[in-house]
Amino acid sequence: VTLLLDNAFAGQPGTHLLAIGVGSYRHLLGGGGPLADRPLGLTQLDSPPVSLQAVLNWFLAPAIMPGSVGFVNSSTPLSSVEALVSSAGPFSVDTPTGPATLDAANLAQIQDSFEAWLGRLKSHPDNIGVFYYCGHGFMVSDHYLLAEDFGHSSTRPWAHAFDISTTMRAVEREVAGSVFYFIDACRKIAREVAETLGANPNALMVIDFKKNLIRKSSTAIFATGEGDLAFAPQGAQVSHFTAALLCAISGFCGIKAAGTTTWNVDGESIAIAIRQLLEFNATCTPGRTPVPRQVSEQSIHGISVPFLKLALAPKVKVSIDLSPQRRRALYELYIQALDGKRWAQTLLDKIFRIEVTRGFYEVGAHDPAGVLPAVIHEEEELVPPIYTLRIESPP
Amino acid sequence: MHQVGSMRHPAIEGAAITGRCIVPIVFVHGVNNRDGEAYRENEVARNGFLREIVAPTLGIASDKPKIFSPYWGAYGVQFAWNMATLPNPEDAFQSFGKDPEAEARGRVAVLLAESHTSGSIVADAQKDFPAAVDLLYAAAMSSAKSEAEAREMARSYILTAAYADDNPQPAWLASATENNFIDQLGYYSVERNTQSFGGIPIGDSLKEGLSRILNGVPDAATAVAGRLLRRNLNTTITQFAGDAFVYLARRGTQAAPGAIVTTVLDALHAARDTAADEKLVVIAHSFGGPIMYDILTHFEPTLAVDCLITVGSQVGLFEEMKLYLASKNDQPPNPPSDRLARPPALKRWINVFDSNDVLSYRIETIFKNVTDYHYNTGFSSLSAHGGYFTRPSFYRRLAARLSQG
Repeated sequence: VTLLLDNAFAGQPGTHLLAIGVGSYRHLLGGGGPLADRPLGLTQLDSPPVSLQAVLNWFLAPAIMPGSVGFVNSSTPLSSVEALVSSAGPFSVDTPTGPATLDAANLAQIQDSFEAWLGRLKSHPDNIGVFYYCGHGFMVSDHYLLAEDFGHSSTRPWAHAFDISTTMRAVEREVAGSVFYFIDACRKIAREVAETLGANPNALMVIDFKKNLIRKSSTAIFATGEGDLAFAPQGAQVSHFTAALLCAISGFCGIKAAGTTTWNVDGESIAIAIRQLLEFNATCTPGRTPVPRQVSEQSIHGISVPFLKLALAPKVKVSIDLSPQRRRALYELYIQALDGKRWAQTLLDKIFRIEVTRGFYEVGAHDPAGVLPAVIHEEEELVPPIYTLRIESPP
Repeated sequence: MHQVGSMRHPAIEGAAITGRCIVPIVFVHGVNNRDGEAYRENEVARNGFLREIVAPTLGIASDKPKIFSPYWGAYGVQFAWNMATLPNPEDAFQSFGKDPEAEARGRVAVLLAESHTSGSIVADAQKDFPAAVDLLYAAAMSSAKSEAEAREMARSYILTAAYADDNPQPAWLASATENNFIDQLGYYSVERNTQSFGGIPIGDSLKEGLSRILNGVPDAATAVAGRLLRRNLNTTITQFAGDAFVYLARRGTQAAPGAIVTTVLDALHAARDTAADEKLVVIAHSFGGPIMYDILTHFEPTLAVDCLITVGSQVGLFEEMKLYLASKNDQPPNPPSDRLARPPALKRWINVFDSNDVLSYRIETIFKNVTDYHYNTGFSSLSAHGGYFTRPSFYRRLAARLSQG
């Protein structure tokens, strides 16, 4: 099965998701098939199937259980979900009609699913398309994403991958609505590929230059910058980028639509939140393996189109520390809303972490014993997704 | 004398290293070094391997040591007629080319000419896996562009060399191809604590090294490498003698040291000033050894040096010839049964030589409380003299010796 949800109504705009997770690569190192002649040093990945599942769960949750955290957009409701996976272990996903298994993410299947997704996306000029990919990638002049059968041919070693850069340019001329791309893959320059000619992977669609750009908006957010790697924790865990993406769109970004009670989450809001969350998460894993530095990159064109429309104000992850550390356990660290509601951490030698709704707060530290001087920051504006403060205790 | 074996570097075995502090390392180069692309690239690669492999055994965190490399080649011999006195003067300054890649290929061609490679890394590895790994990293090292790259390569080498030692005939090697050998080597030898959606970190550098091996074999097998080796033979002997004569003639006195001694002394003082507890480690290659011995016995005998490592050096020979300023013809009274004391402020002295290196000499036969180690560069004749620091295994074995205290 590839189509997990098909709720499109004729004449109504909707959101159409195509999600691909490739963790098992038959011909790469550690794979089940014959090893590719040029595997580019690429190995099997545990994270992409898990990351894909987290993304699908997030999109489908409100359709399975109304009120759950997940995709909400009253103007362009979730209309279709198509997904492919390549996983070493069993994989199934809960859908409104029950658990479903997915078809393999080989190049032929990706091509078919892409064409079906594009067809649905073109059915209404206000549609929103979402393209999510998690797996291996590399760059030369363009960005290439690898299907599970990458490395099948020794004479065309880079076949069974696709050119997402050119595909995005082609889609801009086909789709009148908006498209969001979330690309969770490396963008390292592959010198072996650069030193060959005639075998670069093709796009999923050719660019027809006779056509003008017709898209309303296009947002592409990449897990990492050009030439850099994207990472996931070891083991079957959600990747750093996908974790930041899901956190961002689960109520940690958005701008209030003037004169309404709706908070719009557009491409720029998501991009800013992901960058900050990636950085924040990298510094918030004490005692564990250091998280490699990973800075997302984005390309946003066209008008602002809400990806989500939320009824609640976004939240902020608050992190309050005190320096010097030897005094931290002597203080109460607190945050207090303008209406008087207060949260505190008292006499503990750790960073005070809490999530609160965006807004203005008093943030400070005071010594319950009354010996050390208090430090108070009044009217601090807490803007999603992150607020970090290190309070300096005076000598 | 001791044979340098394949003792495992403590970092490989996960031994705890405690009491880390700032211990500067001073590298005193030998003769025949002139500033240029090759000199700088050698320094970059050497520093990377010293930091990652040797420094930890000295109790220094790899990102901490300050490495000083005083360059005294500018004060070495100058040939007024550009070595026109050589029988084949056209060989004197022959070069592969001017660009760094050509220089790197030239160095690899010499490496290959001495390495008995078949031209197939897979065939070589099937015959002697650890030796093939060493050759591969040596070829990759030859063009390290930054110290960060060299250090990353050194860290990778530690893991890969240990893997090759432990698995001399891994199963995957039987079906490996030239194209996927490095991919599989990286995959099986490197431990991972994160997943990256890309390839092995230094895969490109190793593949560049492999490309030089594969492309350099025709050069190594034909006249090009021969010309390079002949150039080495002619110019190395000439420049060695020239630099040594210039040093002996112009080294100066304690009151007025010459330019070469001053250059090295300045670096030693700068290094000592950065040391947390005045510990100092000095590595002296070739004629750097006699210069250091002169400093420790005449120019500044109170300079405390924690450990001196002389490599491919002639310290003992010059004392046999009584050419040091501190040399005394009547000391020791009864050579060869009597030997000289180690310089007073020098706490430990290790001397590494290769019996193939015609310019390296032992010291245990001349000095007391010193240690000779034999290291086989795998090179012959004069190539061995410059071969120590181009072989990654040299750093690993040096680290093993140092860790034995």
